[in-house]
Amino acid sequence: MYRYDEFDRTFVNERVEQFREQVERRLRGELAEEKFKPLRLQNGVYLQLHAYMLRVAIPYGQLNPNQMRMLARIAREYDRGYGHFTARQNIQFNWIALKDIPDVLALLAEVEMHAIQTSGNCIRNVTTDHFAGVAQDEICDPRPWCEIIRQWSTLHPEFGYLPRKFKIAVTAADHDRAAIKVHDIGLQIIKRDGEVGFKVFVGGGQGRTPRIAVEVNSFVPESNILDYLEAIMRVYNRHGRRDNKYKARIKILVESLGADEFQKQVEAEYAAQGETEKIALPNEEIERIHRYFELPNLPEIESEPLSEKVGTQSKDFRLWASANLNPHKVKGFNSVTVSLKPKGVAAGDATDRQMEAIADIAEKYGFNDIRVTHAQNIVLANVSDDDAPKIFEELKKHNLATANEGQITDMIVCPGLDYCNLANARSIPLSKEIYNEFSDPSDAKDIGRLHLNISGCINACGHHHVGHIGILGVDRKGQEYYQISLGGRADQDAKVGQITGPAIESEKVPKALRRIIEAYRSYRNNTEEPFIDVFDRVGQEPFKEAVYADS
Amino acid sequence: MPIVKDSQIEERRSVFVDIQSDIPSLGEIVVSIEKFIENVDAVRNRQEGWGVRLNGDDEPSSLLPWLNTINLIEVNFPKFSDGRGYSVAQVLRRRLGYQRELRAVGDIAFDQINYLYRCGFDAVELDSVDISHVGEALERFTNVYQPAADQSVPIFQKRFSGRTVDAVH
Repeated sequence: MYRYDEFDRTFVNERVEQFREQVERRLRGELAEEKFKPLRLQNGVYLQLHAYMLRVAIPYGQLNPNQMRMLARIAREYDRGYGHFTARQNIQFNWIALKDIPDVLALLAEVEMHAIQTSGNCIRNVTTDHFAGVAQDEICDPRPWCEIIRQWSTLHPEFGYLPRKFKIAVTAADHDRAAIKVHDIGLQIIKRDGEVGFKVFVGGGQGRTPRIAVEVNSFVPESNILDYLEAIMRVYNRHGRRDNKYKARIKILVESLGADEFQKQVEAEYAAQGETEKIALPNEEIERIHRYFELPNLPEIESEPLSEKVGTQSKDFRLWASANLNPHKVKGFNSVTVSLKPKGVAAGDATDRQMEAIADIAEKYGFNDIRVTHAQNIVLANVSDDDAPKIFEELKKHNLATANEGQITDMIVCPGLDYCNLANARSIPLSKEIYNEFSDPSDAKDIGRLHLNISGCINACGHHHVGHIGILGVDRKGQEYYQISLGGRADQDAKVGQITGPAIESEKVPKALRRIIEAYRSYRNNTEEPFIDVFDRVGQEPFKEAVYADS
Repeated sequence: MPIVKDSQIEERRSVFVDIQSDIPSLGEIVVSIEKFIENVDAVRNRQEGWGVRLNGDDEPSSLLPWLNTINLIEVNFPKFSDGRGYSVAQVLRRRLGYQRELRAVGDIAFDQINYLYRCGFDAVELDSVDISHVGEALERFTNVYQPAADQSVPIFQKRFSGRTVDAVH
């Protein structure tokens, strides 16, 4: 993974000192909250319901064991002993005191981390495929380009006060695991006549106006991608709406201009760039960054495939291996999903001890490679067949071995009204009730791949629009109600889910889901046909009936 | 309000003239871009200093025919969170080649000075100012990650100008 050089280290340290002074001015009363707000936001500091929240950047979800240990230490010493991994591959600490934040940022800087641009109206943390660099279906590793984009966007002086936040996601695989079409900019790395370049999608997003991104350019050569991004950003910065924060995202600009006119403006801006305006990243720099992401020297494993080996293992291990191991591009290796969705725990939460355990395991068995996924789990990217059972035993000791990757209990859940001052309804208690309904592992396994996403308000941090089943919390005269949508997906065939009808009371949600699942079982051709395929084949009607069958 | 330029503070002497107002016969003025285009000759023939003010939604290239005769352009920030002026400045400096004074006015916070100067401003109007703080703000970061109007050499170039790079892995 990428390591800081002297330039990166100096920069991050200077940033910590800058923020330390800003916090001191704020605490002395010399800086009004109104002016402090954009400064703290661009350093990851939110003011939530009960306390300040610090969101730490995990660039494209990539961590090494020492970084994970530092997150554990921060959780223990400055928070309440846990952290919350988010749907944007970052981590949030919910109970940090403002006066401590500069010290926390200094600790993060020691391990080459920061919280820069994790909130505010600027270019946010770039996200990618959690199997990047090890997936069987990718044409190259997207992480070097994520790092290049990270550096370019860091304190970009022109794009620090955009109309609204701005999210970029990158994938290089046929199967999109980075949800690029629901990002402000989605980049798909492709090859054309042997040349690497980017297919550029713009204007996707969730929130209160979910939109699927439109293709703006079918091929931008890699050497021009930063210039092309500058063109998009400038069109947005100059023409995006600033009068209404709910209409300020680039998706609204794309929609109001029309995709063709938006594309024309971007192309005109791009064409107008003079030679001196071009970024002209040297090839040596592109190569330098790529070298950091080379696959470690994995030993050659000449033995029978894992599917045969697991026969001799325990039933628990086999269940876990079938759900949580993903094929690796190197024979004899796997990527392991460490589920942060055991029963009774808020999705994505991890304690300090769990983080340290993951760090130890990654060091011992995983070639130091840890990723955070947008589904709020952890991935150990390089694990040999032989080590998988040992890892399973280690993970089990720390309640990290739940066998549910991609299943109904592997929910994406926003913090909801328990923490967030935007929320209309709680998300975490509902997710626990749903979990209870589907906690039988063989039931969940039989249901198969099903993405269940829960948001506590229309800002959609729980990605409910693109869940195969999405649940949205709404407030009805002071009561929490939940609206169910179906058929959403965040992959290469991204779609916004269809709302089934009026919201229902929280007590009714688990049984309504149960009836949806029974309808799915009755319509599927075989156990291999996943829910989303059945939904696409038979349509919403039978499922909609199932939701309201008790009323 | 005081204006900071080249480590000096001066008080504003000019009067702003928008499209509805009449151009005063005497004194320094800054005129809106519409007013300027309507009265190009009258403005340019004045003995006393004059400048043009752009808003975030004005098109900087509409000044192109007269750009090399303009000594002062102000860019207005109606709210400090409105970042259009940064793009206006970059276009003026990097694309149109404007080289004289470029002044940020309006609702500007001290903490934005760094980005403003990077985008090509060389003067800022602030409601109160400690000149030593301005210098600090500009020297806060030794290096930058991307090129901009200020001509700072980005890190990606410095990495390969005779320096050794840290070993990989």
